[in-house]
Amino acid sequence: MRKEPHSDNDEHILAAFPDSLVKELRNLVQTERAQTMMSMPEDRVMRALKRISLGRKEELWIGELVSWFRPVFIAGLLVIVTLAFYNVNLLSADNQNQQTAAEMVLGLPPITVASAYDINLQDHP
Amino acid sequence: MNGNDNAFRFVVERFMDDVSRTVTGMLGPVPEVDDVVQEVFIKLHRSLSSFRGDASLKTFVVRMAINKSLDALRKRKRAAWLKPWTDVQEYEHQTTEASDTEITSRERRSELRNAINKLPENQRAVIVLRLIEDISTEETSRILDVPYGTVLSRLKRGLDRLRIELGESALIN
Repeated sequence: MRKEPHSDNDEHILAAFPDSLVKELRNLVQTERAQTMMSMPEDRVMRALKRISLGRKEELWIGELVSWFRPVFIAGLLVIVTLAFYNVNLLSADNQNQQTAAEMVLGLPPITVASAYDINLQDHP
Repeated sequence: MNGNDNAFRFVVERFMDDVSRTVTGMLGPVPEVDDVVQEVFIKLHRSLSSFRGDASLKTFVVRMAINKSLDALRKRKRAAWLKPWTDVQEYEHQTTEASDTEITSRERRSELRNAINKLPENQRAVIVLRLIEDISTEETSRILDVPYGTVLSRLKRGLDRLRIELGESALIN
C-alpha cells in the first residue's frame, strides 16, 4: 500500500516522509491488532448487543409494573397514614375517660374487644 | 427484528477492520482495544437512528472510533493504576526462540510505537487517519470536526515529531 497524496497541500508535507516508514506504520498496526483482538469479534459484538437489548426489555417491563402499581402504592400508603393518625392517642388531664381524639369528636363510647364481650347480666332479670 | 440484526451484523463485518485498526493505532497493543471496539459498535447501534446521511457511514463510524479511543486515553491518564501495556515485547516473550530478523523487526515496531505514543492525542489521531488508514485530508477534517488547515498543521507537526523521535533509528534512513 502506498500513501496517496489527496491534495496539493498535503502532498509536500507527505513527500518529506519516506514511503517505507508509512509501510512500517501500517504493518505495526496490523501486527498489534492481530495481537490484541480476540477471535470472532463480530460474534462478540452481536452477543453483547443481544444482552443489552434483553436488559432493556426487562427494564421496560419493570418500569411498566412500577407505573401500574404506583397509584395502588400511594393509596395504600394514604390508608396506613390515616389509620395511624386515627389511632394516635391525644390524651390530656381533662380526658378522664381516656378517650381518643376520634372518640371525643364522634361522641362514641370506646368499644374494645373486652367491652364487647363484657355482658352485664344484671340488666336481664 | 431479526432482519435488523442481520443488517447490523453486515455493518459490523463491513467496518470491523477499519474500527479495530483505528483503535489499535490510537491506543497501541493494549488489552482494552477489544473492549473499545465493542463499545464503538454498541454506540453505533444506539445512534444509527440519528445518522442523517450527511457524511458517509464510514466517516460516522471512524469518528466514533476516534472519540472512544480518546476517551480511553483520557481514562488511562486519570487511572494511574492502569499501567499502559505498550511494550510490544511483553506480548512476544512467550515465543521461545526468535531469529535475528524477528528481533530486529520487534525492535523496529517497539521504536515506532514509542514514537507514536509520544505524540499528542490530536496529532496522533491525524497520523492514524491520514497515514495508517489512508483517509484523505478533507475526510480527516470531517471525521475530527476540525478545519482543513488544522489537519494540515497537525499532520506536519506530527510528522516532524515522529522524525525527531525516530531520527536516531534505522527506520528513517
